[in-house]
Amino acid sequence: MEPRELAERLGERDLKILLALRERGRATPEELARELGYDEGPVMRSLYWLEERGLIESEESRERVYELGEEGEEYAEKGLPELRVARALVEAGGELGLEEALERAGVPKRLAGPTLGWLRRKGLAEIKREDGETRLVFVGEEEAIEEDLDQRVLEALSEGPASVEEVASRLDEDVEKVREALERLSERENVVEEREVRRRVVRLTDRGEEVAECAEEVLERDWITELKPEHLREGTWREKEFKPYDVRAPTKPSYPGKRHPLREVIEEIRRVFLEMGFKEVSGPLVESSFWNFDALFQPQDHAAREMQDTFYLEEPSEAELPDEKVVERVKSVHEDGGDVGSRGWGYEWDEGIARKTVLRTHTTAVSVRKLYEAEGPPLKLFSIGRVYRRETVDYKHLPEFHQCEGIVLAEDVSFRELLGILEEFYKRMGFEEVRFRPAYFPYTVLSVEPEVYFEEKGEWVELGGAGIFRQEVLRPLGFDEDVVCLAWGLGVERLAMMKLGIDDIRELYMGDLKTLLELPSARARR
Amino acid sequence: MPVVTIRHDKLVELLDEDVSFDELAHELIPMLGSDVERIDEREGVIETEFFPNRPDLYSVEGVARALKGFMGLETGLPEYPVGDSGIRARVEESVLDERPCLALAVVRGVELDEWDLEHLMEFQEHLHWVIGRDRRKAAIGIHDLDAVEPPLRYLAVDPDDEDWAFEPLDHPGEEMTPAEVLKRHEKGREYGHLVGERAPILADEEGPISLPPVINSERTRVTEDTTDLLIDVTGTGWRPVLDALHVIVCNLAERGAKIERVEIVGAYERITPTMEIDVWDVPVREARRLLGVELSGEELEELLSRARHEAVFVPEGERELRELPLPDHFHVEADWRELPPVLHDEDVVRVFVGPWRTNILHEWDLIEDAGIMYNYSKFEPRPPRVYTESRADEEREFIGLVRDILARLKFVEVNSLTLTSPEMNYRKMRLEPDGRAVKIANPIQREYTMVRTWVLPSLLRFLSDNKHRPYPQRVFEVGEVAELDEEAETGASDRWKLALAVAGPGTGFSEIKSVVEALLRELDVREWEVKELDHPSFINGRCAEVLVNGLKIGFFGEIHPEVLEEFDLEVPVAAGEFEISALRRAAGW
Repeated sequence: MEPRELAERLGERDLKILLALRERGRATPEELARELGYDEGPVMRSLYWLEERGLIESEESRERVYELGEEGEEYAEKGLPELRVARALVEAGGELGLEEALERAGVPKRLAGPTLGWLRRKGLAEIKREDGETRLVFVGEEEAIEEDLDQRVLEALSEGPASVEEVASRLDEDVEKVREALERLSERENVVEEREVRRRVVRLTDRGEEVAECAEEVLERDWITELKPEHLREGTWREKEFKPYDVRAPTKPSYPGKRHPLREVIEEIRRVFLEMGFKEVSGPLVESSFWNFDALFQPQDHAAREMQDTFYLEEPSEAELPDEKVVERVKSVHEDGGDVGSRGWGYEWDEGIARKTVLRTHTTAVSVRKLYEAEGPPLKLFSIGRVYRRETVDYKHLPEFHQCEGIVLAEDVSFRELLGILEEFYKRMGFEEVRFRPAYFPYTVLSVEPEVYFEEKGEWVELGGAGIFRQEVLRPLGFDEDVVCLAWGLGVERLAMMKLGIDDIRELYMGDLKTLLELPSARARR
Repeated sequence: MPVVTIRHDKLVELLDEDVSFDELAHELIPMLGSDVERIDEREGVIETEFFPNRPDLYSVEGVARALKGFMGLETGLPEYPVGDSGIRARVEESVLDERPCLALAVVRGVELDEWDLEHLMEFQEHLHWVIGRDRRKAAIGIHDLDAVEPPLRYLAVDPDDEDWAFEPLDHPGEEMTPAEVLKRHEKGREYGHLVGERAPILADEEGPISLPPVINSERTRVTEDTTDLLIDVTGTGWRPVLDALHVIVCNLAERGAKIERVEIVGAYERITPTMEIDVWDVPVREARRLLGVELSGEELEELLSRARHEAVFVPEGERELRELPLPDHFHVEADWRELPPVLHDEDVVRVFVGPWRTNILHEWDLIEDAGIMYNYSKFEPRPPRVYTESRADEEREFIGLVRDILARLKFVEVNSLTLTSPEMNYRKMRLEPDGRAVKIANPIQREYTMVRTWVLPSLLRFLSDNKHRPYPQRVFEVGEVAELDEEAETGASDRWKLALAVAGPGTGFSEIKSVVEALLRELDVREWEVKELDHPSFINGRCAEVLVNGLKIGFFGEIHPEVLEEFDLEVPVAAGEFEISALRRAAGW
């Protein structure tokens, strides 16, 4: 494209930037924004695009900048200690005892030594001894206090970090003098800090020069940039030329209102379950140990109960138990297997432990509650809900997350149907390849952990657990031995992270607005 | 769960079969039932988590026994030589109130190099966790038999009695009384709480060899030169004590050692290890039904033998068992050669389960064993033919609608934890705790000690975390809250609430009011009333509650600057909170 054609397609801001750079040679983005009266964001967008088009080039320059340390901030506001002391002397008529001078000036005693040093060095005061007391006598000029350059440099820096040159320009002072002042200030501790920063500086390329040549003319041309209602009402658009746009130029991003990505994944799981003929159920977050553990044949003192770290509750501390018949049957199945053909765990079951309340550790508590209330078989239920684990927060763990769980209660289903339903479920969730590995859960037999092939990482990932509810679980709830209950569940966040391409579980909770806005909604459905 | 370290060369030696590292790590060990944690091919090491139902797999010998069956190298019960040690131990009445159960065994002919020794100690610790429940129900001591001077005594003593002082492990030359061990020894401090007023002591002719469940004596320390072991297990109940002893001696026998019994006399009489075998009948029909595979009786017999049980198919009506090569030093209560105690009216497989298999509680556990030996990867999945109708939860559907409406109003949905602190839930919001909170008894972080009672603080937290992002910001969350509820079965009830907030220069009461009205209009709530509300979290005179048919459904207004300061916010925020169930009723859902 000819330089002129290109210039015609640039926006007003782009052209003004080119002109400004032609004038100045080099500039930082901040300088351009200030000079042209734009915000930095739009200027950055223009610069990005001008550089893409080869009209400008940028380089990084390193620069030393100074900023206020902790003490420096205090001094910038209240004044340097020696100036405060000098002022106190003036106010007292020219002379004070050392201690009193420090006190009046509000300077801590530990700074007495250095402050005396600076008073002498700046020629503001002299020290004399009288009757064993150290006294200070003001010897300088009063203006010297007000005009002290060190102090003015501090005040200039309180506007923000700056290089020597910038400080000089802020104060309209000689650069060398400012440099000396900064050196003096650096002798003190925590007053000014020096640090190296990288800055981006831009300048025109040769092509940029050519385009800039045409900029003024293009800016002044009388053509239609924005099509206005009066152009249409009066028909003036017929007589004028339209300014062409650079159709590739970047624009300000737009974002829709959004549902949370985790919620989107949950909706997707609900859809799959509903399509497969399942009924949605839910249960309480605060649960009794009875439903969370005991009804699931998890012995009260067994390693299995420790597989999940549990939050127990101070308030409410006790829950009611269901009807006595069920409690009695659960008790006997734990103690000696009851009448379900089991050996049981062989210990004395304690009703008090079963009453203890917990924040539910798994949605299996919901499944078993619903089985208790159920009229069936056949029955196909699912639930999705929050569960809690006593874990400290890191990139893999949160003290709470979501699980989903499905159960199929019927007379003529087997392990093969369990695998069949898992395969179908994962396929619908977007995982074509599923394999199965033996596992253990205290409440199931033929326990299995499904693994799905995760394309992005090229590896098999464990995604959930499944099995057939033990007789020790089902029979106490009142089902007879012909009934089989298939069950499976999985962690929703794990699935969501895979679908959304997130590596840190915390991103799903302690969210960053920008991430939420930019994460494509479509990912949850893929 | 315990992580078991398996060294490839050690396992191959035990298997007496060349198996590649790759096959072991990626096929055999996972398909036996474990979560492989780490694979280091260069070192030839696999670290894997076996499940708490299989303590017998917590050492490489047990893994070898199981793999031999899985791979078809060796099936049925293994032949472990068992004899009598001639050693006797006397249990005194004094220990019955402290830690009553004692079981002992001698294991001869072990060869342990440095790795084996460390592996054995790890095995012991895993068993302490899974069976012993941190040594309380069962604790194991392993001694160099050559250093022991039988007979043994098991008794409880006065912990301060100098006569029972001994050198505990890792403190050679430091003689300590039991009380001093509990106070000064690192294990004493860790497990001292398990010792009552009198300390249990296992002693030989020369003095204590162990202070169970805390520490052994230095004198009987096991080293690489040790060939014969004395193993003691003490505890509070016989099942865990015998389980732990059997698992450990049978795994040592798998590496070629000989097991010898010890006679226990005194307060009770026992000979341990009992090597007792469990007998189960697994109906073939039940296995077919559960596995969904048309297995014959012989096939089921084969699968269960691979699981290292002695299994024999007994067809319906059969009166005599086939001759079994059941090693006769295993102990079976009834004479296993006799007819089944009940004449079976169906095909069964009679299964003899070795004493190291502590998890067989039900015949279904044996069907699971058969399933694992069949190999999970060989099952053909098939869809269930169970007709049911789907039904979505109405409340979730309604919440879905609310979320859609707010997203269309250009709000961004936020997702927060429901766990919070009184600081966040009340104080920062200028509220006094109302005693309605669900409180955690064992929190681990100060930020998470209760369940939130409302959602708005979560939104302010989000705004606070995002104050460097451009304004205006419009956010909402529909989430669970919980409160004490005397009526509820569990003493608390949880419900859903909606919170929404607008933040940024220029926002205020009228913006949030307009949004609330749009939401109500979209939900087809036709009539509502807005009344001024005094709420400490909001600016006085700029807060309102919404009533439908005289019932409160929520409130909104401009957040109080003191609250904004608490959340470090420098822009005005207008916000509101609504009960989902009340909104739903108002909307006629």
